[in-house]
Amino acid sequence: MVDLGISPEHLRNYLDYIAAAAVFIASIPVGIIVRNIVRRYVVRVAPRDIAIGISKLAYYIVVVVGFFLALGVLNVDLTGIAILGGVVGVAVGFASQTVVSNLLSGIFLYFDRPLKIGDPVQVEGYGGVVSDIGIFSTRIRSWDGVYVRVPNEKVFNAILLNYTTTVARRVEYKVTISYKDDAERAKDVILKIMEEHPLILAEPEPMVYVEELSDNGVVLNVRFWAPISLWFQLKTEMLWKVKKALEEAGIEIPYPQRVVWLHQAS
Amino acid sequence: MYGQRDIGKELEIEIGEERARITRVGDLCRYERSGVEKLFTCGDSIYLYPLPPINVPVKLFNHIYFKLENSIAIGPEEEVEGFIAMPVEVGVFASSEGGIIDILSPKPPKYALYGSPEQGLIGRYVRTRFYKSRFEADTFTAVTPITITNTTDNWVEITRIVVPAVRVRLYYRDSNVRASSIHMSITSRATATISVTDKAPRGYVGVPPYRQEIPLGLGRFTMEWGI
Repeated sequence: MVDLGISPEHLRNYLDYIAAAAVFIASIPVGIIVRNIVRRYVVRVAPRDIAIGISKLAYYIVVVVGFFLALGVLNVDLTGIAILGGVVGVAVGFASQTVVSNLLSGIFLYFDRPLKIGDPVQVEGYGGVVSDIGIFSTRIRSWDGVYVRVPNEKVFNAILLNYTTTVARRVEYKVTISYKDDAERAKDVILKIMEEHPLILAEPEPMVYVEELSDNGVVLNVRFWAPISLWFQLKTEMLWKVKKALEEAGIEIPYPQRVVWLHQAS
Repeated sequence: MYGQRDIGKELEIEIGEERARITRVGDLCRYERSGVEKLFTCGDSIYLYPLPPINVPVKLFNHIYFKLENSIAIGPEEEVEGFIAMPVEVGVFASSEGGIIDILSPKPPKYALYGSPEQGLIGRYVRTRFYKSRFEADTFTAVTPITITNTTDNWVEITRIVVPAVRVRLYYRDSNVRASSIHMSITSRATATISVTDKAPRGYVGVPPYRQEIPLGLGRFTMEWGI
């Protein structure tokens, strides 16, 4: 037998360290396998984001269990760790109130479904398209392309505008024409271009009416309905068409004006 | 008008007010009309088929909303047969089995909301008369047979009919187009069930089904926001 110059006790200690390391290292691939299995099953009953969150949690649980098993192999007294863990647990509990609140809000959002990935929304004053709904936070890509992370607790409690939950949406403009022009004719001109546009809905019918006799002119209220997915396109397209149509019909959109009477002292 | 067209060296086709030109470019063909240019692998022919009017200008909606210019009042448990006019789009196909090159809508499209903005649906809006007998239709209008059955004990008045367009199959003979028969079963003063029967009229050729995927729930359609 070869003498390694190591006492049997030391050798046993080395073997314990190797065994502990093996247990901990083995917990990582086991965790990955558990994570994949959990994801595969949870994704069938929950959205992908929640499935990913739960599967990650399963992975960390396996790794932590592996860590404690490894300590057990080394005969480390876990009582001290348990006491320390209790103290740390209380501290973490206080510190993680927000995290838990966000987690629960994320679960409630899953059942309430006020928004989904791809929806154009406005939350907490941030408008944009929902790019991801996680278990703790919701990511929004703002209209100008900036990434906004909103904690789920805020999303759940906020007044949320979701622009795609309806089939159609109304567009409204205020157009001022001069007092010398015929408002009835202006209405006909505007209604005609709306009738000619294929994507402005025939029902509910477009509407044009005199809303106000203002300081600067006669204010017409123009309303029409558009399919929700084309709402912004039509809103931006039609205002200029209304302006051009009125111009071509010789109807003036006046500048702000004041009539000044000059009195000449005799 | 509809059916197979030989390309030869060059082919010009007229669809309503649009003119399209197909020329050979090596072993490919070039399709051109105002604002559209496409290259495609081609054989000796192209095919023109009438299509349900739900593709132009945007392919977002699956229903046709017929607004009757002459409403019909039907007595309790009575049945009325007649015809309505459905505008069709024209599809230019590279082969008889598919390969859409272009779709045109010779009749100006318009859309309308049926139901509420929250739960309703948007469909191609078509104003039509209810004809008691078969009428003379132009090349871009499909004569659509319809049977309306009042299954209630009350008189009902019908002013609109909403049909799932993807279920409608079209048939052609020269320049005449016919659509599948529609059956409207009135179930209350405000509701009706719509079903489409796919039965080829004698002497007409069926357009090959070009949309294989039919959205779920479009087999029988229930009009629940008024008739």
